[in-house]
Amino acid sequence: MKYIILLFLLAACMNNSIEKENYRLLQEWVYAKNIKLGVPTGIVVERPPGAEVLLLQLDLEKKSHCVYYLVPFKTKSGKITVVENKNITSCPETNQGEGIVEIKNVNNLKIDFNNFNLKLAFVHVGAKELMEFPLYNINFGNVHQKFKSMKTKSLLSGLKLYSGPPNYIGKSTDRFSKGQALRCHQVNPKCETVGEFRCDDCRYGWYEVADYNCPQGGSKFCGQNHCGEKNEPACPRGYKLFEFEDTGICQEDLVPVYNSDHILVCQ
Amino acid sequence: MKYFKRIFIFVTLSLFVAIFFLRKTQWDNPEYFVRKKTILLNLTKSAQELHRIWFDGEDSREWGKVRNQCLQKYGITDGFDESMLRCHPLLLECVNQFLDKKPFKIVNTTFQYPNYIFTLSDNSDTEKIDVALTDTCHEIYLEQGVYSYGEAPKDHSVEDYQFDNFNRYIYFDQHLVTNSEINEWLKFDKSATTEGIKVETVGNNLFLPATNLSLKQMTNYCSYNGKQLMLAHFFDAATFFSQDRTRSPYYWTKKRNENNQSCDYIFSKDCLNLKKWRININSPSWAGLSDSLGGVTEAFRNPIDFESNLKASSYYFPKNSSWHRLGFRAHWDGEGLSLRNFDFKGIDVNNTYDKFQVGFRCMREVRP
Repeated sequence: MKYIILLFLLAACMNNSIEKENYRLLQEWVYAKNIKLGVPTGIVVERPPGAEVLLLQLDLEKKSHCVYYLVPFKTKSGKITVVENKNITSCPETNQGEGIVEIKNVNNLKIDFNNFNLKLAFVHVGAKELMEFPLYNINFGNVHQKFKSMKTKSLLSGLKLYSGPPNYIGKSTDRFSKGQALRCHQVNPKCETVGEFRCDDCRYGWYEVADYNCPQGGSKFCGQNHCGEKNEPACPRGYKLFEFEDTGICQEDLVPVYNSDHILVCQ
Repeated sequence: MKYFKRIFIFVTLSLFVAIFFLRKTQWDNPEYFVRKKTILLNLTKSAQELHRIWFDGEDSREWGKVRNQCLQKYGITDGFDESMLRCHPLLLECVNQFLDKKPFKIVNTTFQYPNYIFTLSDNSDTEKIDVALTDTCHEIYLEQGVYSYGEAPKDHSVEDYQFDNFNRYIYFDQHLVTNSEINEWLKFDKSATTEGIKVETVGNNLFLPATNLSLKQMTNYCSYNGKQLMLAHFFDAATFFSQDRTRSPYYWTKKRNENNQSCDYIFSKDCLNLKKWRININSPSWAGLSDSLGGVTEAFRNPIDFESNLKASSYYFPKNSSWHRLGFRAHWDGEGLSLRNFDFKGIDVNNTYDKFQVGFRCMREVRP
């Protein structure tokens, strides 16, 4: 019995091939939604020799991968290490974790990120290797064009590889007037954004309210828009033409009044 | 019994070891991973083809090859604006079903807001990939600017209602929501909000507007898609001729008296004898919004004047009716479709209709 267990352990410790690691990374990286490069692209990484540098960070759905490279020095060859963070946090500049993927005997490493395609080119045990990862889920923002539908700055606008449902927020029955609506974006009196923009996660859409008349718009809430109705927020009327209470639209028999959160509400 | 137990453990362990080493041989074989990688990359290439056909729609060469079979399957014999097949799962499903050499193999389709999810499989069905495609084909971005609401005031005692949408990214539906879009909603939303809604699943009505919903159901449909029912003042913004402050009542001209009663501009009651009405039959407004006047009536949410929530301009009224004016709206109670549910202000009311058709469209705001 002991021998059998030993045999298993031995087999498990056997070296993994480049192809296996490439496939393993491809399976996960095609779903990457954000990339941060740590070294210049298109040139061989040669500095600092003998030290480990952060090559890049890839944010996946609920975790991130930090890719490090031990830069070769004299007879000591390089090594690529992929460390997995269980949540999306910035990767430390130097490797402090256990690698889920390690590729040893690496030299002349060069990374490229062009047209949402990530390439790692290197020499491995004397042979040239190229790993390519099309990153379909990376989105650098929206493009709004007159008379056209919305586009995204991504490999193929409107296409993503699906890895599971997002964490939706808000219900269709949530009402601002009942204190149920979730705020997904907040603007403070200095017109600064407070916290992150979470409105893309609103399952039933979102709407903007009139509060501090900021150029970038007001705070936003998830759910069905009932602006203009009694005890609901006033609809924004625009920030250039109007000031104070005039920035809100209410039904003809109601008037916009600031509530305790400085949001114009129709009463 | 004692031997049986030993033999059983030995056989089980041997089998386990044999399977492990068999798989291990596979796992250590680079060819195995090269093949797996190739299959995965090929699936992403299929996803690109899926994306191309999704957005090209009726312009794709694949549609030309499956068009007849597809229309036959859905019992569509009348002509309709086939651009509505863009970003519509119906077209992809037909390509998947009828095309001999298809560029992908769809094994499942579902909706997970805000995307349609198509599960693609390789030919041997060993690998699958879920591809999410968004429906943005029929939305149009409303240019930022200063706009006016309602008809131009006749004198200074009435406020000339203006608003702006600077730094706001508003998208409106180009055309009215169709029965086929409601079908899709009913297919995937099994909540109480869809209870009791009936639409036709095949036939020429598929690409005609959904006109038998209550105002609440319309709101729920838009909400399910992360949108809201079209707001009356944004409808005005998208239809009054090119941000015309003087507000001509006609979407094609700045001239207030240029009332062109041709069916090419307003599909009125008089046009019903000449041709069948369909979505996008007339020119769109300056902003790209179709059916600004004429056709079926259209419901809005009007946060300024709750009572004016219906574009009455439709084929229920003759070409010389005063309803055929932008910014001039009737009231609908949002519940029934018979005459008593509407307030047409006594203008050109025709009691011969048992039921009026009320269409709707949605709009949304997106982040910068």
